[in-house]
Amino acid sequence: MRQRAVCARCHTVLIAPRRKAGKQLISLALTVLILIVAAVLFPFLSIGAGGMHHDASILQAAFVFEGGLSVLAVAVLFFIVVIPALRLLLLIYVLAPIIRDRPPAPLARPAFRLSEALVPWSMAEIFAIGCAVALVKLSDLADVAFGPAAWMFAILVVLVVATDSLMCRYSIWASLDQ
Amino acid sequence: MRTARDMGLVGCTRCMRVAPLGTALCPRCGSILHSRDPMALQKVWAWWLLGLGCYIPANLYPMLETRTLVSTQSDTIVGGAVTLAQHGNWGVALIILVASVVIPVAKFLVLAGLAFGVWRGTRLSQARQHLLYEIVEYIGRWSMIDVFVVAILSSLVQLQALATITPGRASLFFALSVIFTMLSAQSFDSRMIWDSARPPDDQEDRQP
Amino acid sequence: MTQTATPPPEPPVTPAGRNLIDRISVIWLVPLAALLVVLGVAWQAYSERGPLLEIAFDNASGVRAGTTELRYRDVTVGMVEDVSFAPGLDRVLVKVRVDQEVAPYIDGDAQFWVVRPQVTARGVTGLGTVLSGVYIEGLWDNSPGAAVTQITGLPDAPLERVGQDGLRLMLRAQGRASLVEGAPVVYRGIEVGRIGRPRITADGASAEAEALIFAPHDRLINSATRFWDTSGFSFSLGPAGAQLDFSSVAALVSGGVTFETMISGGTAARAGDDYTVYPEESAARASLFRGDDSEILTLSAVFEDNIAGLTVDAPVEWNGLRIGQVSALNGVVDEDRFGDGRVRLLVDLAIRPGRLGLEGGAGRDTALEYLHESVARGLRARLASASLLTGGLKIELVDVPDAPPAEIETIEGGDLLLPTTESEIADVSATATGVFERINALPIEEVMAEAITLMQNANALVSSSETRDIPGSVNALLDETRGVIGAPEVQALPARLDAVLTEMETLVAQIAQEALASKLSAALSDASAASQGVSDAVSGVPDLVARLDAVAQKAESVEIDALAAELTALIRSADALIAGEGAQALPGTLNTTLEELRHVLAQLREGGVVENATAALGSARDAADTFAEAGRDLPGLIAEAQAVLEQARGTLAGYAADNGVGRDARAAMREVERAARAVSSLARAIERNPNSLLLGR
Repeated sequence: MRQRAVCARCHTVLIAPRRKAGKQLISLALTVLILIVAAVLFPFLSIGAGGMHHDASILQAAFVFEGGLSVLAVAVLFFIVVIPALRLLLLIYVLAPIIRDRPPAPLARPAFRLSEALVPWSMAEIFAIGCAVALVKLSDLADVAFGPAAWMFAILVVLVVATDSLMCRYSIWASLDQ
Repeated sequence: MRTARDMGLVGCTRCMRVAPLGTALCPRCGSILHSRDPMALQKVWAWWLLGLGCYIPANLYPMLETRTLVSTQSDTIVGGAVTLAQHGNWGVALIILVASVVIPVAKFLVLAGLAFGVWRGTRLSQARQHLLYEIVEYIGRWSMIDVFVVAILSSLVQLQALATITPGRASLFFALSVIFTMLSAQSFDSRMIWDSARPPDDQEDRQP
Repeated sequence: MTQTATPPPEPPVTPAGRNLIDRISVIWLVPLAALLVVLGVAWQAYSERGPLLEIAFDNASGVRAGTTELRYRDVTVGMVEDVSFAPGLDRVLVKVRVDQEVAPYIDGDAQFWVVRPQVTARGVTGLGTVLSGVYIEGLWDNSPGAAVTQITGLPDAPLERVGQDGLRLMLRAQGRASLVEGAPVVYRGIEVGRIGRPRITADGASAEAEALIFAPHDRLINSATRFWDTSGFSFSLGPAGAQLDFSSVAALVSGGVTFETMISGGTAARAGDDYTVYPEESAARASLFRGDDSEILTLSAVFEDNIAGLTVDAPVEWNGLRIGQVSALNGVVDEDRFGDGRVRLLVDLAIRPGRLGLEGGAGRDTALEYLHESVARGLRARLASASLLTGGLKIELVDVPDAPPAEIETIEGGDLLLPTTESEIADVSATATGVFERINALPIEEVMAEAITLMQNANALVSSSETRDIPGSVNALLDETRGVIGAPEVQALPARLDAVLTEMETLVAQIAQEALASKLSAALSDASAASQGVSDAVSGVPDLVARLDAVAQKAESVEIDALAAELTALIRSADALIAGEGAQALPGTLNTTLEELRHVLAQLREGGVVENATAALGSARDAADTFAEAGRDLPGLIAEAQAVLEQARGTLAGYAADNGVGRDARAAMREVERAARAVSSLARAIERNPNSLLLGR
């Protein structure tokens, strides 16, 4: 199986299956899930200016859109928490039988298809960049301090990107196609 | 270069599996199979128009409402970036401007250009068109950065009388605009770029 | 196309995992590590959080969960987690998560209050909270104590702040002095202390407030320190011109207290000492010379009569000596005690033991013991007229020899109740006659007679040819005299004279009303006999004895002789002057003077107050005339009276010194001496300026 497929047009490596990838993916996915839960629960950022102090969690960041904007609150929550978590859950659901050489779980295919469809809508890394921009914006206005959630979120973003790049969609589809 | 269609096959855009032409659903993942989505351009234009429709109020309404001790200030997207730049915050101003103005506008232009090119032909090479499409599809979601910045600022800057930031109505329109343009880009069937380079007759008799 | 055409090589085959460790991939350590980190952070956050403190406030205006902080020395040590109502909705419960490191110090003594912006005349406090919202400030000592979970917050900031140690005093407002919460205690323009929340004293008589004098200024306070109110301003017109006096605009608006240690030698103040706040600086200064005011014995007395005229600060007198004042007036209804539901007058007397003239110190206890003894012998309190003109009343302590037995009762609340006797509220008109008759006995008549004689002599002199030679200095003197007479004060002469008369009346009344007077009368009966001739001369005047008393006590001071001598000398020298060489300018000036004097006398006659007295004055003149007749041998009379007095003194000296009567007598003698001193000072004044009696200055 030490083969790889290279695109006929652009020579990009298309498929490079890795044997242990499944286990790595699941462990990464588990890690990210744990971090997502923690990042939601712990204080995210805190600001201090003029003797005042304010904490904000990720949930507060989402629910800042109120009234007519509450649709947006749900959307933001989905983009940065629900969809990434759902994708990882689906991934674990799909991969768990495969790494143990078991037949795929029922509905594994639609599950993986959904997971793939959700890729563009998982915006955790964009949220992280947004944080950076906001902090730069605020840095000369106020003192901003990171809570534990901020560090977890930073790790989480890195791991999500790692999961995506580690994941060989072709192999997964191939193993599902039996 | 031979395409799947040349070989009488249809490829699944989701799971990359090929199936004989005429297969309705992907045998592996169950996606609907189209060798070329006949509705693709219509979908692209529909989402594109919606996105543009949302982008206009997104630029007219205030994005952020900043209440400080002395004043209440409403910033539109561009106005906010300009204010930032005036305060010497060039880096952030640039990021905001790029993410909120340059990228969306470029996306509208590129999508329209691609769709128009597929429909009427274009002088751009296939590779160039593909590159543009890849960029648009990849970069589309990054416009959401502005919405997230608004969310973080508004949730964090709640310093009572000293400074309070609340999101403006533009944030919703902007988010919708980003979502619609993402959908527009996803609706675009990049395989049509291949077809546009071929004579129309060739296209037609290959149509399933 | 780089795809290899060769079949993929077979992967090396190893037997499936035989044991658990081989079968478990290292990769699982990653989520495990993440889980551990997350749990670690969670555990740390949980273990680091301090206890929850529940503070009850009257209202929680501005307090918000998750935003309002608890601060100690301006450092955040906690955060409000929840704001809710106490059962019954009468209190607001603020739950504060306190930092673990300070939690042990928050014990039952801890104080909490909400810091809000306050705009007062003294400035703006808590301005920061306008921006940041309110915060809860905590104050506790630096020794750990038993943990508490529920505590009641203060409605306002307590008096002392962190880092402000000092001396706590109790300030008691006197008269119009006001105590305002939070007002500064200012010393030489610097705020050195602060007044706490004032409250009404238990007896309802005055207001008191705790005050904190910040260290190190507390060493400025000692027992000789006097406080006065600086709020408001005083405007006075005086010899120095118009004077507007206020210490600061802030004090003007918000009230303030200042103090000064006016004499040296005070003992260091102790925490909790009581100080009186006087309405103004002059009152504070005056209080210093009122003897030892530090100790006050408070007694109460219930009077059957409920008569208008008694006011707070009215004098409490004993044998004519002011020994204290009325500190409070209340109506009292007590059916159980008095048998009916009538309103009675309950008077609180603030008696200064130092004034009782007791030997061996003047402590409260000594004074009280002495009063107990005196009451057992018949000492009673009564209402008496203090001023005929205003109808004011005072409290007198008098000996009623045949009074029913009574004692100082201790009533509920620990007050001491002094037994009372019937009031002696004089009929004004009757007393007035008495007064004017008594005035007859005063040397004013002599002086007036002498003056008249002088004028007559002067008249005679004017017509004489020698007047041309009167020196210019006499002219100047007369000019001055004219100026004096022409001065506007002359307009006030009737009133002044009246004041003098009132003073005299008081003087005479004091002597007359003394219980001892009767004894003295008895002792002086010899004097009556001795002065039989005089009695005959003024037969029909029943007050002869009283007058004799007056004369006698005047005679007590030898100065009256001196006065007479001086007067004689004055007249003689005037005679000499008139007879002198430089008197030529005199006639005109003297005429003017006499004209003005006549005018003055006319005014005197016309004066509203004296109008009534014209008759009395007439009789005074008659009396003076007779007296002048009788007084031809005044020196002899005085000598006689003196002898009588000596005798009286000898009689009084017969009483044992420790004997109560002796003490009474001594007090009475002191009083007589005092009166005599007053007369002698009057005489001295006359000596200095013979016009003073006429012109009242």
